[in-house]
Amino acid sequence: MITRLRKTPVILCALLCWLAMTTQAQSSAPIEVKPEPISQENQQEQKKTTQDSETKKTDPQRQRIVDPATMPKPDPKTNKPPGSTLDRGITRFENSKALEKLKVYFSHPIVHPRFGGIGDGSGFGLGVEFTNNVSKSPNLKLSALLHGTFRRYLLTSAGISVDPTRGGRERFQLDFTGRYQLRPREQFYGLGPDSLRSNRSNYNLQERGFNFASVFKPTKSLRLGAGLDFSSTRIFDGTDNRFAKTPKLFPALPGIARGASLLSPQIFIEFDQRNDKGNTTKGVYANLMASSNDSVGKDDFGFVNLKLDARGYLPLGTPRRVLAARLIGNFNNEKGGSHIPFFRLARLGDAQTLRGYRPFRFYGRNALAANLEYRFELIPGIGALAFTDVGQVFDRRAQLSAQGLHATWGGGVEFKSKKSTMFRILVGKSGEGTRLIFGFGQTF
Amino acid sequence: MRLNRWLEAAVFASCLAVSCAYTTLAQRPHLYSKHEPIRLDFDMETIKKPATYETGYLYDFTNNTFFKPFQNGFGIARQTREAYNVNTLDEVPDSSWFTNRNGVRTMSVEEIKRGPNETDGPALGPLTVVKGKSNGITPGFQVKDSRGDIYLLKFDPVGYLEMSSGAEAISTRLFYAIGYHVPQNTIFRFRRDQLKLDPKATFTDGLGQKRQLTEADVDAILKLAASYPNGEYRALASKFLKGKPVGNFTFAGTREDDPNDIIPHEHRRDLRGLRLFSAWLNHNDIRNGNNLDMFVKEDGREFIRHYLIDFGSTLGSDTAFPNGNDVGFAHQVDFKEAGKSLITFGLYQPHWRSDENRVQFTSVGNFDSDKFKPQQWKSNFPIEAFQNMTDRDAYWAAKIISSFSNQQIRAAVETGELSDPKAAEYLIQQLVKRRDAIVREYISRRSGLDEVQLQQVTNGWIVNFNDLKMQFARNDDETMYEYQVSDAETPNRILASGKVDDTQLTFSTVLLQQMAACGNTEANRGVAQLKIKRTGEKKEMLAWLFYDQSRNELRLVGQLN
Repeated sequence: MITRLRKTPVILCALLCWLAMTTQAQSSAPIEVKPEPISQENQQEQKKTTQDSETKKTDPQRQRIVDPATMPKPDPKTNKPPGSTLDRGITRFENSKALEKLKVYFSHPIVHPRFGGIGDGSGFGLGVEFTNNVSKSPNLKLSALLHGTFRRYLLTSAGISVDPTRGGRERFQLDFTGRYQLRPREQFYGLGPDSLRSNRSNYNLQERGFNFASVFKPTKSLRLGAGLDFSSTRIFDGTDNRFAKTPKLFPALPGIARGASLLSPQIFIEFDQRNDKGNTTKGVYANLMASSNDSVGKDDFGFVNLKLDARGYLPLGTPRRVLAARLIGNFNNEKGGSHIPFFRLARLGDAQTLRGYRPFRFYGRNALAANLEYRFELIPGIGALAFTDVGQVFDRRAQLSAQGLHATWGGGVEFKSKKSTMFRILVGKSGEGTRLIFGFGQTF
Repeated sequence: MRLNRWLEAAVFASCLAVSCAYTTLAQRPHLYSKHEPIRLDFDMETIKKPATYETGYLYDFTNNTFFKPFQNGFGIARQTREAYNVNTLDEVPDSSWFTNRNGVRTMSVEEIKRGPNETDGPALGPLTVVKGKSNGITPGFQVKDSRGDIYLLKFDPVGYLEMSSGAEAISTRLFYAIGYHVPQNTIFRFRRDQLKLDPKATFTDGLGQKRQLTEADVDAILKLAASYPNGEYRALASKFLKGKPVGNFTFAGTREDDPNDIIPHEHRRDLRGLRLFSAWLNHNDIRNGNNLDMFVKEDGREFIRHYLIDFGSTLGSDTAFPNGNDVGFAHQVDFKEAGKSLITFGLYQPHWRSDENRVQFTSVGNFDSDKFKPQQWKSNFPIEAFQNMTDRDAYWAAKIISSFSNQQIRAAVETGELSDPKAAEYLIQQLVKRRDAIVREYISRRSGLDEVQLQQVTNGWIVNFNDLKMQFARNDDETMYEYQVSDAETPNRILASGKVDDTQLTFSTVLLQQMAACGNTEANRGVAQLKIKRTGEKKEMLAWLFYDQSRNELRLVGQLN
């Protein structure tokens, strides 16, 4: 057996030699370059079927550079003949001008389609927005929005914007917007940084409200605003039956039984020196918003809320490599012995804050989070990024510590147009697992 | 025991070596033929009218960027073979694809300027607009002149007057002189009041909807066209080709309904070498959609003639705007470049990713020679025939490019009718520099010893050859050449050898008599192999010479550089 095995290579070699010799013997039809013209001897051997074909063969002016018989037959796998299914399909799609039609719909002056979700956990959705951009009065803008998702989230709104100075919405603006939204599968795990992952529950939030805001823009990069917001929120059992219902698992949460109606005067200041809002590569942005929230009716809700969003973008030698950082803070302070409805608490763990955690994984009175992203261009139109996020929810400042911070890291790719980031796919990793995030626009 | 193993290994290795050598030998091509080299590949037999096969940009893009590379295993195991359609002189014969022009015969300046033109463009006088289109990258009209000829008028984008029309006119002349079939493209100026509307004229809007063309449509199209300060419009008038259009040809495979089309396109040298011509003229938008098959009737035969069309995206123009800095350096979706960026975390930033404005003349666009490296040039997406280009294909193309003199290039640029002489001069300089870069790169990859010519003298024959490499390098250093004449069939049987300091060898009567005795069959009787190389270099030119004793005639019957 051993001897036979050892002989195998020798036999193989002999076989190879024989094959090579056979190939030589059979290589009368050259497959390589420079075939000779058909020799006279061969021509004599060929059968002369018709007068025409005879003319072709003997006429030196009508000979081919290759013998058709030696030409390889097209391989259907690598050499799709014209008119293949794929070919026809794509060509038919292109001829239908579907992309051009879509482009027209997107740039329609009145109707604008919307894609994507309505906040984290809402899933993919579609919507339509109406504006009166064609109106002859540039100081008056009407808008309406209807947006739904496949997880049955819904957002509708209608608004009017007025620029009394007729300055084309440049310096002063008054906005009034009414809204209604359904969020039937909002996630809740309990309060505080130590809430358990196993306590996942969901609730159904229904909110209606309106917002009045006046915005003044003293300089190109500074906006100051003041306004009044009213919201009436009701909480019901969540519709995701895979998980517990929040009202049943956490019946003592403030606002879970009757919801809350809140009137909230608010002010904000915004400083924006980004070079390009859609594809920022340089500059800073900061937004500070304060609101005083009081319940309308019998409930005892009252709190002051402060929100901070500060961002910086630093190009690293070229606008194609950017370091982007963001700090987000959400701070609440109860008024006297009043409470804060749980759905207005600070939250972390979404596609904006801690990207390796499930949506709204942490609820707390206050939250602080930071994001750091390194973005770089792969090719024009496609970029990649690596990120890390840290954050924590806390009740008191003393609870804020390095040990209590939750961290995530990950990376992904972004698909960009000249004006904005159209779509992004990210993978976020945390101590609780890995999340795949699809989104429209850049994270921040 | 151990010795046995070594013995077995040695036997195995030697058998493998013999086997490989034998297989290689078995695949060795026919390198010469005593018959005249084929100068015309007759692929113009009458065929039935084929179906129309058209592809659009989306198909070309997706197929070439995603499907083809995937099918081909991203080129990892690519086996490139030499092209099929070459004769025994390693040249491409004329065919329905290609006609040797400047590469075999120096065209006059007038011929270069005339190009494929049969007329001087639309006849003076009123033009009847018969069709309008707002789809495509550039809007335009179809007009009929007083002679009844139909032209497609294409305009320059606003802000870049003369750019795309100039590029198209110039590239048309150069592609024609190279040898490709191209339409007649001429620069044409007209005023709005010259245009008259045909009552039956139709208009196709951006969504493909057809309706009657109106004066308002004409005005709307002209609004998107650049014009001179005196209100005159400038257009590229592209004359409709003779015959019936039957769609686009592809850069791989063959056309099933064309019995003349038997050579896979990816193995046609005229399509492989097109990569180099495209690199020279920066024809980044080369794709199926910019090729056209015309079913023509010539000399009583009906067959397909293959055309290159639409050169609006050549030189510094990307049709609707100047070339981006990445044009010619990366495919539109370039996995290789993306991979480099990804692996280096964005540290890899080639010069072409800069946002620097490199447009020096708006009438030229972004056309540069300083950063041009012909071997790295890329079209908008991978083209299979281009990827198959071998050094021999490239050498063939580079030789044709080298045949263009500065005067010929100047003549071609003049047909672009650029108003600014500085812009025209700049363009000429870039074309000359790009030509030199291509020739330097690809001629030197082969021996560069070429153009063998035979001349009878009293005491024998003189074999002249050209040293393209030294000629193009303009190197005046004395170069020595080593030659060797041997029996073609038995190369070990050396008939003569030596060194010369000139590109000329004398074949004495004695040597010719020795040649006459070479060979052992009728096919190789009298054939000798001539090897020439520069002293100190390995690359050599091989030529096969046949001495016909009965006629005292020496003929070149094969050549390989």
